[in-house]
Amino acid sequence: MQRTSVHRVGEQRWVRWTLICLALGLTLLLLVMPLLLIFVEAFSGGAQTWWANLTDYYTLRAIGLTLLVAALTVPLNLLFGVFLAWLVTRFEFPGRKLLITLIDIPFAVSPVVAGLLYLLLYGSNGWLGGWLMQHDVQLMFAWPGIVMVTVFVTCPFVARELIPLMQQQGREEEEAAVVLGASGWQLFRRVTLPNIQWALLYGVVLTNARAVGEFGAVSVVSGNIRGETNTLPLHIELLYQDYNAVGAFTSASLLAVIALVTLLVKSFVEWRQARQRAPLHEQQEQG
Amino acid sequence: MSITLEQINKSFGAFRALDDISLEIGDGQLVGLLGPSGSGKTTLLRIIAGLESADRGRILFQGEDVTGLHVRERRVGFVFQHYALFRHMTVAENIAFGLDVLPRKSRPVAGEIRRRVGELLEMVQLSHLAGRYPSQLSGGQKQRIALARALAMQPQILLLDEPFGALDARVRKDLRRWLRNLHDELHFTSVFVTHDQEEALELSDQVVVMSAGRIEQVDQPQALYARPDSRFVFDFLGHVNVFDGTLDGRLLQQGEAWIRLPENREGASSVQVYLRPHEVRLQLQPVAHAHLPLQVEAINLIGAEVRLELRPCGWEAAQLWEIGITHAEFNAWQPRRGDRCFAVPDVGHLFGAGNAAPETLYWG
Amino acid sequence: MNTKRGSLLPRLTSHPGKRVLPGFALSMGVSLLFVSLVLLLPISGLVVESAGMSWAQYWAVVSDERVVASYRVTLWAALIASLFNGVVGLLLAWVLVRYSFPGKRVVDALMDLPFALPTAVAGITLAALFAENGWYGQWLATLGIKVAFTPLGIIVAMSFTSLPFVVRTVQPVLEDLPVEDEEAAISMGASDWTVFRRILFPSLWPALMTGIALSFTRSLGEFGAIIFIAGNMPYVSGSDQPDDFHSTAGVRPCGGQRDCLGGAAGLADSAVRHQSVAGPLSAASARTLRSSHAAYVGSSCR
Repeated sequence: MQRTSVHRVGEQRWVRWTLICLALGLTLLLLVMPLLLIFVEAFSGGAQTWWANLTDYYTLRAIGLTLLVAALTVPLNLLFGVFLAWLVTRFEFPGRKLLITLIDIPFAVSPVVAGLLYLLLYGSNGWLGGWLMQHDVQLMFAWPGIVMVTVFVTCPFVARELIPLMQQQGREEEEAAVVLGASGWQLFRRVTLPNIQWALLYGVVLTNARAVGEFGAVSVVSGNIRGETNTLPLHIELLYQDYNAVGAFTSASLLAVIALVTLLVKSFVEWRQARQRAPLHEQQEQG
Repeated sequence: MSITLEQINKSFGAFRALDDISLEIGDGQLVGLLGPSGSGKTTLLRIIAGLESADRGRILFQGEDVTGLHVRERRVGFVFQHYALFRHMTVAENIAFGLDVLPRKSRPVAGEIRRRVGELLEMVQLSHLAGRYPSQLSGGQKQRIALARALAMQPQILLLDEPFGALDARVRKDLRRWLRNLHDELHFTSVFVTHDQEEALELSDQVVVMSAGRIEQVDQPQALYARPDSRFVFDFLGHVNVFDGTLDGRLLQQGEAWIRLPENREGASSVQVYLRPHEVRLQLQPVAHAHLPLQVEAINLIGAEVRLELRPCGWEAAQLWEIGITHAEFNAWQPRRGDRCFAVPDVGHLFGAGNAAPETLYWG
Repeated sequence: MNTKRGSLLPRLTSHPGKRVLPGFALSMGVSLLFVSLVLLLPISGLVVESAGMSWAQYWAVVSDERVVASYRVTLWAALIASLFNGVVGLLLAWVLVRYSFPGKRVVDALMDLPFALPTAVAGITLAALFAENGWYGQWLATLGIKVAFTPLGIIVAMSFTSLPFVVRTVQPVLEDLPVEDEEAAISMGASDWTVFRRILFPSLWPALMTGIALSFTRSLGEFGAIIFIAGNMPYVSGSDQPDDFHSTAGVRPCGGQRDCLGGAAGLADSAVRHQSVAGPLSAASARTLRSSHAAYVGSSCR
């Protein structure tokens, strides 16, 4: 067999193009088609129907609730993530490794179980339930419970993006800044933040995507009260079970757009990070 | 501004990094902390800066106790080993940083800051790089910018952590010279850490040799080289040929080799004589005061001289001996591997059993 | 910096009030408060309930007949889905790493779609696709294959939602394969398949296994995507209505009705039951993938 300039496996033209076509085909079938379906179904009644569905009272309430959840969850977890990453990568103290491990708890627990645990704690029959009822505070089966559970499920994202990056970057720049006289806030704003901005952005986008799309945990604590405690994913479920496919897909199209934006931001962040690394290769040791 | 260290102690867990260090650094001096890894020199430097705190002991700047002062208040300049330039700021912004973060009251106006940055860039001869980012600079350039950044605050004390460690030989030499000139011009007190003895000896007014958390010797470079106080300093400052033997009166013996000391000695029977490569000659025949047979093991032509590696014959040494001969001698003798010759000491350093300073011996 | 200990290691000074970098107290306070309130407090519920059970009770909870039946389907489906993902994921990773073609960056970005897309959306989409009159369902029906409301549907949903695990786990390993090994083997006359089989695949195998394992774990915990395509009925505590296929779905109490909780004991039982199946695997997988872009990957179930 002729083997002129082939020096890696699978470089021959026919192999290459077969595999590429196969991969593209699979991507089409498994990923593109579902995406397409969402929009086809959503607009199957025309743009007007789509708009009507979107602005339907209960849909709007669901969107509102979802936005509220995201608006509360994302800043909270952003703050937590930054503080935790700062603590864990810039200081040494007993229990540091344990703390890093604890952040993974939401991954070790299925979201449905997470929901159950929150019910166990704050539900009317739960440990704190009695105390809460006495003070006329209802957390479960109301929007606070949804927020709490979403916070639980999304809390690791920002921290897990920041921690490896900040560890890899090291403390030297910050030490240098302190020696030069910077205060805590100046240090963070001028030195740390610019170094972590893309990872931070990505962590926020991930948190947001997950907060908006969380289903399992939220469905447990929500109570599914139309117009009150239905987030968009729950609302979709409701519509679908009511055989209102178009309505369900309309809401789904909204979430699909958010998903696509998430993918875009991820690509962008990776592109930026790759660009940042490149110049270092061209360095030479010259005076 | 003078620096005084009183009984500095520092441990990391069970590891004793610094053991009762006391040191006096005069105003305007350029002092090198020299030692191998783990000797504690970097820890000491960081304690002076305030980037670490000592477990016990005091630090004084010009007589004033700064031990309790946070690094931010100490107003020292610090140059990190890996430069620690702010990667997201341009060169100019890096240099201006210290001035930019001053409290509003003491901060100069923007125009003034720009002017100062310009001056500093001129001083380090990198004005054309003002708009570049650190990732676009070479190692030597980064080092100079790091220095300029530290000097922007006009510190009285400048501390440098292995400033030239990551650069190659030629760049290192240039920067060394340049730092020395800068120091002479600006008169700050400067302390730098290095493991390169050539660098320490060339740059410093005073060299502090450290080992295992202790100070072995503090001296001017020439004195340090000429009269090392201990085995460690000897070993550290370049190759040394060691003759280990038993002393009986004037004769120091080991196996087939012996050296006759210039004077009688009583006391210690087991002693060592340390001989610098330039303190001993090679001859084809032994002399009256020494019989040290050697066999040529390797011949290295190193620039100005020829360095021979020699194996002891009929006696033993922990390491091969190294003795240099001139090119003229080399051409005359034409040594080859396996050739026999004899070492003839001119100056030697006698070490007794303990760690006391050695005695210098001269043979006529 | 003491290079022996590495310049990246933060230092503990012996005067804790004198740390060089600011913000220790503040960040410690915030972190501990948050971790205790949000993470530890709820988890303690699980720990206490589990600890409070005797072995017999525990066993009774975990081995309830109806539930065991649902485990079996879940485990088999997850296994098949992950193996399928192993093959497809390997192919996709290979093509993405080795070849260039127009639209490659788009395809690469799309690999993360199952992660980015909310599971409810994935659920209804897959259900619609594979329904008998759906785009795929209709011509699968001509072949006599029914997907919706069957275990096959569960496999499809699991496969979709956990496909990225394999791709993203194998990609970096593929990228790092040394060129020289292949070049040497080929220059010695080995055929492509031989080189792949004997040189490349052994290096890829660990990553592939990891990806499959992660995919498996994720599939076990999948909820949202499955309930639509499997037509699942929520498990109503205290009643005889069995949940159809999926153990996780079986955990949702009373379809979420406010007053029908079956008590704290019922909740705890469900939690313990579910956690003991998927929990250890999820925890292990979270540990395996600590790298940053695997943060997405680590989200075990929705």
